[in-house]
Amino acid sequence: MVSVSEVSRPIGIARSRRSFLRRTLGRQEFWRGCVAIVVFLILWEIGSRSGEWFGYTLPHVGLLPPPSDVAVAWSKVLMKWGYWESWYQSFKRVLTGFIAAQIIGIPFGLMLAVNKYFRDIFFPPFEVLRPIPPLAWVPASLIFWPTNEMSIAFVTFLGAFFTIVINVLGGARTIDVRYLRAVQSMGASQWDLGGRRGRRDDLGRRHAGRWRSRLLHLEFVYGRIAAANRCRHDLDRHCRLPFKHRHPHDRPQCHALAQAVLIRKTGADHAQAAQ
Amino acid sequence: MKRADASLEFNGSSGMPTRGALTIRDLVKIYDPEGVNIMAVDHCSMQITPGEFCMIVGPSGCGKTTLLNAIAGFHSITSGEIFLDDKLLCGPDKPIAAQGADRIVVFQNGALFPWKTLAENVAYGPMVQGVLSKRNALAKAHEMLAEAGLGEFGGKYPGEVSSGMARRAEIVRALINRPKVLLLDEPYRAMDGLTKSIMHEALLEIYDRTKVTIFFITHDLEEAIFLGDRVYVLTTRPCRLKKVVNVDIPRPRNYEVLSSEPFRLLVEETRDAVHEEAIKAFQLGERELA
Ligand SMILES: Nc1ncnc2c1ncn2[C@@H]1O[C@H](COP(=O)(O)OP(=O)(O)O)[C@@H](O)[C@H]1O
Ligand SMILES: [Mg+2]
Repeated sequence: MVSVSEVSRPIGIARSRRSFLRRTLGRQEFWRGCVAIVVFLILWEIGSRSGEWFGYTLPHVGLLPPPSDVAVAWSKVLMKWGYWESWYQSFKRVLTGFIAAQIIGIPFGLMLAVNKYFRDIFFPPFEVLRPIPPLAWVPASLIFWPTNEMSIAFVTFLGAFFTIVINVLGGARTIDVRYLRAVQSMGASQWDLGGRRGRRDDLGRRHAGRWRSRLLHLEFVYGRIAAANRCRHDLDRHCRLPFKHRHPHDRPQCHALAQAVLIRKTGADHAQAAQ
Repeated sequence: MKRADASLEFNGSSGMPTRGALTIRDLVKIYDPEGVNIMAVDHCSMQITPGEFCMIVGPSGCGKTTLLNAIAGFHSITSGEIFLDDKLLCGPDKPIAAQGADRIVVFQNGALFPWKTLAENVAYGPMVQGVLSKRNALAKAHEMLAEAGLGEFGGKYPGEVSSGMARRAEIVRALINRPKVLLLDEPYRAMDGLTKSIMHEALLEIYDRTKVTIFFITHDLEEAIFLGDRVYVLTTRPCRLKKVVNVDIPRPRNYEVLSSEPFRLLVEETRDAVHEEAIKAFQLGERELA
């Protein structure tokens, strides 16, 4: 299920990818950013060595270890197994929480987007819980979960979950009605959530079963995601999709999913209305 | 019905067109936002013959889009009937027409999916209807794009080609479904004159080959006469049929037609009818929504 098929490889995208590094190195913004980081490190170094160098210890910064000491200490732990073990453990926790948040958050957000009753029931409690910062959940999660690991993963989960749900929901709202109508007019009649059997259309062709529409639907979703990922830049440049001016947390994937599912749902609604 | 292989020729290319008669009978559409009844269409009747290139003109806000939406099944009608060939699309017991690939809308601003290549866009219809496998649909899409002079562009994304090409691809995307009617709502409205004339020629070429019925909304009278077989002039809201102008300029037509005497006379005849309605609409302060 590849969306950008063999027959049709986008030329412009390959080009823009290859030269990405060169473009970055050639950009003023990139170098300005580098200089900013270096200046920051220098100021930090001066600040924390202020007692040693000028005889007057600056408040707060003066108490921090200077970056050069940090680097030296780091080079020592680099050799130790435990250091990498910590990396591994942290990654595991974060990924567990994040993946769980996706697995639950994306379908949940989609349900909110496509079903009014679901939204009426689940959105209000969701909105009540959303403003609670993840850190505030720590005590509760220590009680909920049997192991420490689980409670840490849970807090990570919460950090990602609300953002994902909101983005999926937001994505669904940005769909252009033209796309929905285009899809409807090209074969939506068979996009069916309701378990009815295929119908005959006016050309006498028997509509394929639901499993088929599901597959096509998946293709649609993945196609949208793949395209969004591969040619973000090109889409930004050419397509006037709302990628460019979106909220920094917005994920094109979420938009994609929401759009695809909503498109499909509308099709189903129409199929039902037509009955 | 069997699928012809010559993909762009399907409506009686040998002889008279047989599919795509559109009958509108006493159509009424009343919009009712918050209890304020807006009568957009008032007992409007039309008889469009199979394979007709039918142009709908009328002042802004008179109800042209409403008419098209009713045919496409985007919204319900209040009363009246619409038939496509012998099939009742919508009527007293069925206020909203089922959407189907027999009537395909080509949108004003274009609605190619920007995340699919032109070929994938074209292949979408047959794939989603389950009539062709992905491979076959793509092959056919490439074939049809080539026929429409877009052979090299099948692998490009809509954002990478000119608006004219994208528009042409969109018509191909509609035609691959072998529709009975193409519904176009001011498709070339935002284009400059030069691009428009290229689009006209492309559309005429496609029409001459397919003889698919075309329901084309415009308010450019020269466009209407240049492209159409018949021009249906509508009254200002509520919309009714005011006048039908038969355009008996032979096909295939090209741009020389524009400077011919019969063409000028037809434009004038239509203009008189439209102008009267446009003044009424202006005085009523009609505002168009879509
Ligand atoms: N959804 C709607 N709700 C209420 N009034 C509408 C709606 N859509 C269109 N109208 C009204 O119906 C009339 C016809 O609209 P429309 O068919 O879009 O005109 P046009 O001929 O310019 O395409 C207009 O006066 C418009 O204000
Ligand atoms: Mg309109």
